[in-house]
Amino acid sequence: MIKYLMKRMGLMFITFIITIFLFFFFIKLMPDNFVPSPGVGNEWYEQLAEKEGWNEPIIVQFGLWIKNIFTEGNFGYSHIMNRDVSEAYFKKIPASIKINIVPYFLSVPLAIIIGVYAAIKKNKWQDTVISVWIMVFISIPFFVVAVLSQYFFYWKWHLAPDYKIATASEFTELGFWYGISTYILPVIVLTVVSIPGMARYVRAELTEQMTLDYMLLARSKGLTQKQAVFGHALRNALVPILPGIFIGIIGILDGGLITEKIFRVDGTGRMYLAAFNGRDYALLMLINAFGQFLTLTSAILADVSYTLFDPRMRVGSGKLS
Amino acid sequence: MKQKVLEVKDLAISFKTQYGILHAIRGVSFDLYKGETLAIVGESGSGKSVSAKTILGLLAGNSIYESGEINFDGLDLTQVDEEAMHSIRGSKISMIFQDPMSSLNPIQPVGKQIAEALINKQGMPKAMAKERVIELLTRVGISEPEKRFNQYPHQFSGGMRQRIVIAIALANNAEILICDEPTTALDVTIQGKILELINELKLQRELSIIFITHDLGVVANVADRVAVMYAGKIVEYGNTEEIFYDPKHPYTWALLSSMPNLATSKHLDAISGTPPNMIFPPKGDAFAPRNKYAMKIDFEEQPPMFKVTDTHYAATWLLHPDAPKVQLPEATIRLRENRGKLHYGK
Repeated sequence: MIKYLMKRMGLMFITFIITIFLFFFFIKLMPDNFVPSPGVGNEWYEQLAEKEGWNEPIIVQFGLWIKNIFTEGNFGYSHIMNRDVSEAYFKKIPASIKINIVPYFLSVPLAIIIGVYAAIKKNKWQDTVISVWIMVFISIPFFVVAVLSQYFFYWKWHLAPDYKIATASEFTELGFWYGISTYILPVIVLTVVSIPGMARYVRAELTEQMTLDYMLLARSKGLTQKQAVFGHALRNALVPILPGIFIGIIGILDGGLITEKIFRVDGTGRMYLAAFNGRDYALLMLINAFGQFLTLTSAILADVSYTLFDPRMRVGSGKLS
Repeated sequence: MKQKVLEVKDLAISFKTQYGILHAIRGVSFDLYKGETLAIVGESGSGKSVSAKTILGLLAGNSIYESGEINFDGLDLTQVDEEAMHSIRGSKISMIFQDPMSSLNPIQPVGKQIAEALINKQGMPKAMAKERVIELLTRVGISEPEKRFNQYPHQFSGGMRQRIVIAIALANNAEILICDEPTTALDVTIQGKILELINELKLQRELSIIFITHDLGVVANVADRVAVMYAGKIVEYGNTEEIFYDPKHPYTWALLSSMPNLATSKHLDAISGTPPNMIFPPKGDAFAPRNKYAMKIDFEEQPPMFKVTDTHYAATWLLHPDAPKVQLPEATIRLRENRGKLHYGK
């Protein structure tokens, strides 16, 4: 197991370096925003470019970037935020977590319950209702659902004061309940839209497991349908699903671009967009590198978690690779 | 007269499919006596497994009960509710399946899977159940049961897994054991050992066994009586001796001819054609289109069961007093001549 982990981490490191370089390369290929008007020099930009080394070849710039990280722990300077990028970025993470965490912990158990229910009632009307609901929410883009619900929730029915997520200072200024009320709709929408995909997956896995022979044996040894489903089929069905759920936990750290734009969350997703528009290379690279790091780590975690749920994966660590 | 433990009367089951109603079994009747093994033989799709699963009430959701009764213990199993069925399954009637690779839960230790039957049915405390399981594992021939108790199915060979499945089936001392092709997925040497185990357990516990198979070699080894099924009907039944040495139905002849044995010198006679599509069951004898001996009436009317002896019946018009005498196929004659000399499977 240790050997396997070491190997995986080595591979992860190589993947990480390559993808980070590609990010760097393509970001630098973007056209600049700073177009000097005719006759007017753009001295401040040229000074900045000189100072940041933007006139060097891309590969040299990449080397410089890496060097600064390792020698000074410095990820660069953000010229749109006017401060150190790591300081600016990590400050925004709590806002993203706040909006993502509740929907995550609501949607996972709900999706499993709904999926299991649909599987048990397969081909009955309950299953049809759930399937239709799932299809509708998978087909309609998330932002349509979000914007429509905002329209009704805030403008038509006036259920909450404003559609801007309260910041920490607003929590103290306008009161706790005001702050919470701004979270209600985003949490509901995010929960509702993240359930269908997982519920469908749970239903598909469970219905497949329920047709297998071991379920017949479980029934023939005298278990009821319920006992057989919850004692045998469900755990088998969750084996391929649980790693994805783990990845979801890590995804909480990463704010969604669209989510944060629509719900006006002052989090990392919004910052990412701003960094793109302002060509804030240092900030972009930090966000990309961090996101990539999370993705690769969660992939390893997912692989390791398989061994927790499936004993077939445990024997002979050598076989895993 | 032996005690009758199970009686299946005129059972008919269909399935709703997207192409129409599939008539899986069409009026099957048989009796099972205490301590005997009844083999049900037939091709794939002849309705063997459906008959067995009906007895346990484990049919898929798209099945339709048409008619008939299954009498067991004063109950008609086609009519009882899930609750009553649930108390019969495992403790009175039990079943083992074809593929031991897939009939155990892959992510649960085998000991727990056996113990579950005990804990659930008898309310046995865990520690006691474990003791019982270790006893059972020893009984079905698994060495080092304490160590094996906590192992997972993938750590066992196919034969071992089938032994575990048998242990599960017999954990609650069921009276009737239904074996749905229990040796088909195993290689021949293991097959013999599993059959031996089943035979041993049968004698020891006075089990009544319904043994479903398509392998006549296996039948010769285990069965006291044989029922031959074709297209959802039993076409011939009798004692094992009668079926092997004095078969009456052309389908039984064909089955016996397609079975290799030590006396086979020439090529094997495969049965030509395919079984009928049971969504449109044929009007006459279902085997007629593939039958070398078919007569005009075979295509028009279904033959009734003709009595051969008190224990031997066959549904073929060839047994009608007016039917022409036909030349038996070579293989069946050879079987009869070599009576007592040939052993199948062993």
